[in-house]
Amino acid sequence: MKRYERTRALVEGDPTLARTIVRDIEDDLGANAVAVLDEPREELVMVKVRETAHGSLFYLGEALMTSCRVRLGEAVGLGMVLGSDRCRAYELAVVDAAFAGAAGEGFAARWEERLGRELERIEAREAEDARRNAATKVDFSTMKVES
Amino acid sequence: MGYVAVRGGGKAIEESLKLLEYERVSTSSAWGTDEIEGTFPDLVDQVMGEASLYAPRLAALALKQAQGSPDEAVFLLRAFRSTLERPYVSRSVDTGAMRVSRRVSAAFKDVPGGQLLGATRDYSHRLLAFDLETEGPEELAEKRAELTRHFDEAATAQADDAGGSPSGSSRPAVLPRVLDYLRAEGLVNRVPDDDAEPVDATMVPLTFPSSRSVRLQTLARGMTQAVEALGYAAIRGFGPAHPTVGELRQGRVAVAVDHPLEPGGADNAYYLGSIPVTEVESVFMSEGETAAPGDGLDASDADAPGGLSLAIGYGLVLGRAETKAIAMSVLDRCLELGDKRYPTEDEEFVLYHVDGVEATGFISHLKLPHYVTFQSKLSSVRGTRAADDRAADQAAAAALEAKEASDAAAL
Repeated sequence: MKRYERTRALVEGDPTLARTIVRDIEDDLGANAVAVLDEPREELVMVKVRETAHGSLFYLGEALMTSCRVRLGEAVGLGMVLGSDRCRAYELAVVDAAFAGAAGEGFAARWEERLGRELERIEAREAEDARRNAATKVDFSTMKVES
Repeated sequence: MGYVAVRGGGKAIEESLKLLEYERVSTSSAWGTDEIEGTFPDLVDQVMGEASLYAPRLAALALKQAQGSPDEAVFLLRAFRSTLERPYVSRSVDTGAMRVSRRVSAAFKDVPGGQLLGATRDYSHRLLAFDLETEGPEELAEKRAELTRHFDEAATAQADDAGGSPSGSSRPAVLPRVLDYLRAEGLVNRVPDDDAEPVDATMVPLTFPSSRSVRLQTLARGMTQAVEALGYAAIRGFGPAHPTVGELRQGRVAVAVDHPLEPGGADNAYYLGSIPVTEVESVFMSEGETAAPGDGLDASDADAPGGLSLAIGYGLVLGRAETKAIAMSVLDRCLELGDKRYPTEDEEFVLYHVDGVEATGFISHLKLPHYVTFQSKLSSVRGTRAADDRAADQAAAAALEAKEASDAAAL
């Protein structure tokens, strides 16, 4: 699973999932294996958008985010999440480092299925929203013109 | 009476702030940011849009601190934003991939994916709902349960109609663009992607002529009512003709950031979350050349030779602010035309005056002490008056002398 899908599962999915993976990593590598390079902190991300009238880029505005950077062995991991959520940023950073490091393939294989299930749950939740919206779809009928 | 510059007022200011706080704690309930976010989502969206910062909890907090004043809340949020670092720029958001919750078109009845009203009060009766006055948590829970049942039944009915399971009957949340139909016909040109890095209006002073990116960013963070008022003025005759809303869509778009060091495409990016946006493509009649699809010409270029064509005005705002998004699309088209005979096509007039913090800040400063400048004005008026009085006295004396002379001559 690529990083985009993995982080989507961890950001949009069950908040306890990232915590569970971090515990698994700490059990494997030891609680002291993680060195925090940058403590979780609030920052901004500028949202860049492509408009459709001329195909150009512009900045819509900023979004509050929290980021964290950790080192796990030789690997450096980055955690980023919208809003103010220091715990989640730390957990995302640890997972990022673990999945990128020497033992990365092992962790990825171990959690691949669980992350996949989380993505399915997210899809199901979004499908539920879509079904509610579908009830508001307009059913047009054309009136007959009387002669 | 003499005038002197004064200092002081510190004690009065301290007491004034205490009085403001006293009024707040005396009259308001102990609402948390959750209650404000949940009860006034549109107001929270407005504040975030004008502050140009997506942070719902902080916007709710700002509204609480500002006692409901959107201007003040926007000011607070922009001030807070200036204290944070901004190390990241997102990957370019493609609004075509938006998870759409509402999509309507005033141009076509039948559009791929259908017209989806979503949650709107467009067709509601504007009657005060007095039952909300006494609505409590239990009643809220009952209503929520009832509506959940209703939508579950609606989903089941749709599934039955579709002859499948509820999950199989759901429509895709990502919908094609309505105007792609016109682009396919060559009535609206497909524009090639322009990857020029945008200018950030928050980092450079506003200069004219401004770039398209600065115009769009300034309009998107503009004061909602100002953008709407100028858009309205443009349609009423102070700008180009009446537009048609080709598509208005609301939904959520994903925000992703590339790894700072590692190369890699979209798959290797970090997903940070999603933000709600409203996007509008308005269609205008334009005197210009209609180009064939993919030839790279811009059909919206009014200077191009040829007959009538269609041009697009673009609007995109944070949150559910669709009137502002429509008005933005009108003003975008106005500023593209740039005929300064119309105030709404004069970018200096539009862009300088739609920013909420600039406008309220400048107007508000008028009530602050201007003792010295006013003394100067007063001196000028008094000096002129004194000169006028002297001239009047001289004229009266001259008239008297003339009368006496004429009387003497008559005798």
